[in-house]
Amino acid sequence: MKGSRYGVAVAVVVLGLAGCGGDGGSANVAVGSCAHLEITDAWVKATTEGMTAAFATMRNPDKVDVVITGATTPAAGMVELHQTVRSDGEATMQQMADGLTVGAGQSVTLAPGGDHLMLMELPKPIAAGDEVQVELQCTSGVQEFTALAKTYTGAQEDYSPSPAAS
Amino acid sequence: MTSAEPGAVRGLSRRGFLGSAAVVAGGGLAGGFLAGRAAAAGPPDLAKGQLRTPFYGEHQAGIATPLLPNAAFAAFDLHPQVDRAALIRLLRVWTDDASRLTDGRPALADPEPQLAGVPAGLTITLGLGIGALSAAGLAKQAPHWLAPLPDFAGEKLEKRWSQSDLLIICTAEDPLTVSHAVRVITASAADFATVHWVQRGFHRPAHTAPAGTGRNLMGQVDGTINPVAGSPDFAEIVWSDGEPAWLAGGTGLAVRRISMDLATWGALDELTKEQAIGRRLTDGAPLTAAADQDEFTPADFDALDEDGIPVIALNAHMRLGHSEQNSGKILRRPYNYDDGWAGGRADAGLIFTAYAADLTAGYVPMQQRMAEADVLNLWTTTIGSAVFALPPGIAPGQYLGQQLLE
Repeated sequence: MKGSRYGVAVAVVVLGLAGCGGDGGSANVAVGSCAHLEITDAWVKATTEGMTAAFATMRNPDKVDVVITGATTPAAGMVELHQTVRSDGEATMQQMADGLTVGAGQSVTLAPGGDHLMLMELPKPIAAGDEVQVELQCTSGVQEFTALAKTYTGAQEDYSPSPAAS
Repeated sequence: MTSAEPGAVRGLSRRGFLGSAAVVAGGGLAGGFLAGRAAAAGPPDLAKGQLRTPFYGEHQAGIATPLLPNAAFAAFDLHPQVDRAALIRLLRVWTDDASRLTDGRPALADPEPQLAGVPAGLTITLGLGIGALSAAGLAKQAPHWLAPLPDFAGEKLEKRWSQSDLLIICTAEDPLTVSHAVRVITASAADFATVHWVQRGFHRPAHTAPAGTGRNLMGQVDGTINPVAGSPDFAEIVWSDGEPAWLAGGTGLAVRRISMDLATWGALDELTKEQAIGRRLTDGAPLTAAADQDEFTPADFDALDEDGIPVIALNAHMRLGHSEQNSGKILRRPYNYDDGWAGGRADAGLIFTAYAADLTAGYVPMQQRMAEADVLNLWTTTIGSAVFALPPGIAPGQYLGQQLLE
């Protein structure tokens, strides 16, 4: 991957049998670990409000699923994994109760209008060009990446609580 | 020559053409018209769409790299509250945008990611006006020539084309690629700056015209005298040697918008046009060149005709602009513009660009001579002028302008 450094957080530590055809039964090996995720194209929507969202593409090169259970960042007091659910033409966001699974050999893209990391209780605005450090937590291991803050007005996204949702 | 990989691209074109010609021959159709149609209907030369001009390097792309046929020059005025930290943030975002788009990948938060897959040699080049250095509290770091140019005789500068704080130049083989790049760059700048002007320019693309110097809208071969990229001459003329230190490997750029009165020019006879230029209209050769000599033939400025009058007139454009005739030496990468119809005439002309390590020494004396005497001024008027410092290139992980700002 040449180009930007944002979100290029490919784990360099290769632990034992991970991804080597094991059946996942080796309990002491860090299979299914967050640390193996390859994170690219990570960015955060710049905001002056109290909430925003982070996006990235996450590829799991291993032969076992990775389950992301949460995330933290100094840029937000609270982070939730959200999915966008559409029903009756209305898009609503809900927290993923069971975490976000990145299947073995699969990629998941967090994007406006889809799944995303919801950043809440921001201690200060996130300005375009800020570099936001994010740490993903999984059932096993953690993964850090840097997301670039960008101005974005697409997808009719509004991550602020609506004062009078109609 | 307008492709980053001329050999490969021309090879493909040639195969495409020969293949079509063979089909035509097999069908027994020998007419030139039909052969031409068949060639045009042959396999499209899609390789050019996938050309990538390397973004990273010692120098910014778009200066020494081949001239691509479509360009947009976008100038920005910084919001008053933008300081050094904010400028760094903007340049970080622009660098990230440029690194992705020039590689054929969508920018982060790209409004139309579907348009990113045809980089077409895209170059994205940053220029800093004196206002950007002032905003960062670094005006003392400015090269001495990063200041308004002196007033030149005859120019009628319009504020809408005037000096700005920042410049982004996007060039590519494909106009839609340029349009998309400008869209991304302007969207990314929204929190930092407003667009002052965008000047769009063009040349004939390589697939419609033979390689060589382009022509301007007055029909002239334009840009014959230019240093050759990679030569010692080019390095001396163009690349800053580190005065100031942060600019080493960068250069200076004057962008001059020159309006042409094409109607009155077009009413002239050929002889008059050639005398105004000092070159033949057919091939751009100096008027003193033999019939079989080309545009690169050195001009004989001392040659007199049978009446004792200089063959290349004393006020001819090429005499006054010729680098061997004076101390001025610049790199020219001009683009034609034709922006529709205004005031009862074509709104057309030339986006003239002078690149020089020291614009005061390289460009100003020559421009002064031309402003005062060049007979082409009868049909041309400079309506826009701005000066920028183009920082050196960067490596992955750096941002454009970092040598100045950190």
